Amino acid sequence: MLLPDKYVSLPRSVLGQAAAMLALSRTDQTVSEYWNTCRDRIETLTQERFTLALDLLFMLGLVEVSNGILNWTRP
Amino acid sequence: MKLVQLSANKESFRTVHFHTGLNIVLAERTQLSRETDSRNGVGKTTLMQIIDFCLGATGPVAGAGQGLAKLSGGDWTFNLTVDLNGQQMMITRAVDDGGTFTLAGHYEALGLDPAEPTLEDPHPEVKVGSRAYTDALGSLCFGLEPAKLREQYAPTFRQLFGHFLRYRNDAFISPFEAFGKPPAEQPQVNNTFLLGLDWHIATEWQRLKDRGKTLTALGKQGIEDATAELGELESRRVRLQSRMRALEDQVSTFRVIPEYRALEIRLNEGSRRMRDITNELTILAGQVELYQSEVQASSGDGRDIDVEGLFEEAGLALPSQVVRTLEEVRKFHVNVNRNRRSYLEGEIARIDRTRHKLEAELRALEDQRVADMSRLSQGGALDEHSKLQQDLGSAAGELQSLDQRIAQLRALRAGKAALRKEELAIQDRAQLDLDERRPILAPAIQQFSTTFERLYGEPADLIVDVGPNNYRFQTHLPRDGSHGIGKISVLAYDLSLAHSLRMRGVGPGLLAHDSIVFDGVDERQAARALHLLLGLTTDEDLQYLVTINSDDAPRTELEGLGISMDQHVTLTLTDADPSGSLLGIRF
Repeated sequence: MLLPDKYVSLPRSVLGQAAAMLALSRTDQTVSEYWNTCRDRIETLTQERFTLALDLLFMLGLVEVSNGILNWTRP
Repeated sequence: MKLVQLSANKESFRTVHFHTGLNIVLAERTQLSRETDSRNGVGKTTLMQIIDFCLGATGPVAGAGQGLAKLSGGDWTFNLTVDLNGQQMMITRAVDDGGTFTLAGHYEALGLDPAEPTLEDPHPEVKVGSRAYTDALGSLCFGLEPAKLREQYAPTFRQLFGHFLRYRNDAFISPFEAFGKPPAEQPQVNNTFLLGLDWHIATEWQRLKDRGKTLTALGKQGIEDATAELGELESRRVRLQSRMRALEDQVSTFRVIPEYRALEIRLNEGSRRMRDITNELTILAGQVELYQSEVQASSGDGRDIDVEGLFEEAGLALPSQVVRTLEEVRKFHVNVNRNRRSYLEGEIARIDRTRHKLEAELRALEDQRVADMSRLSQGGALDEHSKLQQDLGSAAGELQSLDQRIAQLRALRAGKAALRKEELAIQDRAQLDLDERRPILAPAIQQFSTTFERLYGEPADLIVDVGPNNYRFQTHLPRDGSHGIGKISVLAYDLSLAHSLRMRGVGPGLLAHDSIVFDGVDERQAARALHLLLGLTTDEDLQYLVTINSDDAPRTELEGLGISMDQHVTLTLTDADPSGSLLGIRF
C-alpha cells in the first residue's frame, strides 16, 4: 500500500497521497480542517488513506500534532 | 348617269366627247414604244383615273407612283360633264385642291340644294366637299342612305362604283372584288347589295364576327375546351374551399400561448438539469454507501488500520527517512483518528444534506415540468398561429383568382354559345333570304350565262349560296384554253350587275373597263363581246367605255359581225407624238 504496484496506481498509493497532501499543507490547521482541504482537492482520497498518509508524513518527521493542530516541519 | 364630255384647263388636253352607247378608246403604239411599260404610255389608264377622280376617288397621294400624283403641283383641273336623266351637270375638280368639287348646271338631280339664282347667273355653281358629293352620287346611282344615317359596314358609293369602273391591275383578279385584298366584309356587303339580296344580313354577320374577335380576349378555347377546364377548376375550387374551412376552424379554435416558445426552452433545460441531478445523486449515493461501510467497519479510533504494516513498509522502502519510533507513530495515529468516526459521520451528513437539496430541486423541477407541459397542451405558439393565418390568406388569394378565372371562362363559354346560336340563326336567315329572292337574282345569273354563251358558245354559272360563315360567290366557267377567260368572267359579272340593277330601276347606267379586260382573250371572243355590248347599250340604256390597244383590236372580226369599229371609236391615243397622248404633253 505504500508504494504503487501492479494494482495500485501512484496517486492511489499512500506515498502518492502523502505527496499530494504535503503540497496542501498550511500552518496552524486543525486535523479536521486539513481533512476538508485535502478531501476537496485530492480525488480518490478516503478517510483511511488520509490517515495512513498522515501517519507516513509523521514517520518521515514532516508533521506532528498537538491539541488537534497540525505542525508542519521541514527537515 | 352618262358621261358626256371630259375636258381640262390646259390646251394640250385632248377633250373627250363620249358616245351615248359604246365607246372605244384606241391606244396606238408605234414601233418605238412596243417594249415600254404600258404605264408610261399614252394615257388610257390616266383617262380612267381622271374619270374616277371626278367621280370622287381619293385625291393623288404625293409620292405614290401611280395615279394622278405626277400631276400634282401642275395646276391641272378637270371637268366632267354628265347627263342625269336628260339634264346635264358639270363637275370640276382640281388636282391641287382635291377637297372641293365644283358643280355647275343641273346639279339638283343630285339632290343638292341649289344656290340662289340671280339675274346674271340663273344657274350658279355650287361647291361641295367629298363626303356630300359621294353621298349624293350614292343616293342617285344606288339609292344609298347618306353617311350620317349609315350603319357600320353599310355599302358606300365609292366601293360599289368600283364594279362599274375597273382599271387597276388588281381589279381584274376576281369578279367579286373591285379592289385588291379588301377587308373580308366588303365583298360580302357589296355583292349582296348589287345582286339585290338583303345586304343587312351581311353587315350583321360581320358584326357577329367582330363579337367573336372580342371574345378571344377572354380566351382562345372553344366551348368544349372551356367546359372541360371549367370542370377541373370547379372541382379544384371545392377542394380549396374545404381546405379553407379546415384552416379557418384551426385558426378560430387556436389559443395562442404567448410564452409558448419560452416554455419549450425551459422544458428542455429543465429536463437536462434533471438528468444531471439524477446522475449526481447516483454518484453521491455511492459515496455515502462507501463511507457508511467504512463507518461500520472501523472501530472508531483507527485501530483497525494497519499502521504497523505501513511502518514496516516504510522502514524497508525509505529507511533513512523514517525518524520516529513505532510507538510514537501509534500514539500519533490514535490522536489523529480520535475523531475519524465523527469525520466520517460528518461526511455522510454533509453528503446527505447535498442529496436532500438536490432531491428537493429535482422535485421542484418535476412539478414545473408537469405544469409547463400542461400549459403547452392548452394551445400553441404565436408563430404557429401566424403561419396558419398566412396559409389561410394565401388560400383566400388562390380562391379569388380561381373565381376570376372561372367567371372569365363562363363568360367566354356563354358568349361563344350565344354567338354560335346567333351565327346559326343568321345563316338560316341568309339562306331564307336567298331562297326568297331567287327571282331577283335570276336575271343576273341568266345574263352571266348568256354572255358566255355568246362568246364561247357554252353556258357558265354564277353561283351564290350561303356557307357556314358567309355568303359564297363563285363562278363555274367553261373549260377554255385561253388565258383570258377569267377576265371575261369579270366583264360578264359586271354586265350581270348592270342588268340586274336596271331591272330594279337603279344603277349608274354606265360601265367602264381598262384594256386589261381583253388581255389574253381571243380576237373572236373580243369581237363577240363588243357585239354583245353594243346590243346591250341599246336595249339596256347602258353606256360602255373600254380602252383597247390597237394591236389587240378585233377589227376584222367585228367587220365579220357587221360592225364598223371606227364608228364607235371615241378617241384615238397615240405615242408617235406627245400631242397624241391624252394629256397632250410628255411626262
